[in-house]
Amino acid sequence: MKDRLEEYIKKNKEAFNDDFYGEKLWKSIQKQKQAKEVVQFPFTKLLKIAATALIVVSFGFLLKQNLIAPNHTMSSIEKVEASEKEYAKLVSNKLNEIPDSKKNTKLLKEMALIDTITSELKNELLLHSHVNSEKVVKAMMKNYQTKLDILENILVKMEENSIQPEKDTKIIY
Amino acid sequence: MADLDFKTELIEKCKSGNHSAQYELYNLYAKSMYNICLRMMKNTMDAEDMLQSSFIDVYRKLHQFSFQSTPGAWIKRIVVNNCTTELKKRRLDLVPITERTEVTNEPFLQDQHFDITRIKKALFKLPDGYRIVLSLYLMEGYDHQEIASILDITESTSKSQYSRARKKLKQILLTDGIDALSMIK
Repeated sequence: MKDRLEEYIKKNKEAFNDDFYGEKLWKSIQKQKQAKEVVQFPFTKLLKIAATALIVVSFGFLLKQNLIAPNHTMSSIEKVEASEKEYAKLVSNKLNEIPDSKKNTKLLKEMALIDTITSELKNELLLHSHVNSEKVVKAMMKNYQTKLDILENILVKMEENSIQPEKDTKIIY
Repeated sequence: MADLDFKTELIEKCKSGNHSAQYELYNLYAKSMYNICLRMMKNTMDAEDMLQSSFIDVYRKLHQFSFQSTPGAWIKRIVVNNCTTELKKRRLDLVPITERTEVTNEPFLQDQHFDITRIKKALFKLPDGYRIVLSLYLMEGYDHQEIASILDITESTSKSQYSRARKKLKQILLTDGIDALSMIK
């Protein structure tokens, strides 16, 4: 036999719902979503690129060890250092544009990781005269550019997320 | 059919990162999901927190949604699971082993007891474990097998919990009725 109270609740379940005005909460959701999107930027993809660059260069280095070792001149190191300064300036500008970027430990950690890979490449260049300097420099530049691309992407996403949604949507369920 | 088409299109737009569509999806389900959270968490602040984290999960997991259920049922499951996880974290006794005020006989209700506001108040007076099983069964439409899986209990435990919860709810309604009557007198 069906229970009367059970039937009554089932039949009127919509009436048991409280009103809910979710605008304020939507703003918090958007904020949290935006923060997660920034943090969840495909760092793995980026690390793969940096790691691939390192592998390519290492492979080049191994090849060169057995082949003719072109004596790379000071000019290639000077060139790298000049570009390094230029990129560092650009990266710092972009970081300043991102609010709270200094507190974003994940972003800073990933940036530091690319710097470590890049500095390993630089050491290769400085310590081993027989490495293919052209390839090393290219890989280093690619890493600097990747850092800039990440920051640029974060800024684009932030700009997209700041666009307000339409306000005339009905609540239907 | 038109409703399903509309929701399918909406979900696809959300998947592609369309912010207006994501807002529309939120507006479509926020009220009902908030009320599920409220019934499970028992207070507005926790309910809002659970709703917020659940919608974040919805947008994050949306690419996994393949229309094997309705979007509403899928979102509801995320909400219910999140609330249950939170309640378990708080070591809330979802299934009380002994109920001190065990009700043996099914109390008989009069017409005046069938009032939304009174029942709603009585629901919030139920012990947590009872309130949750009763809400999941009567309000959210889950069967005992589903409740068992959600709460990680056996189906028979869910059934007995529900039966006790229903009796207890009736008892609260009767007691509150007497209290209200004595106040008038």
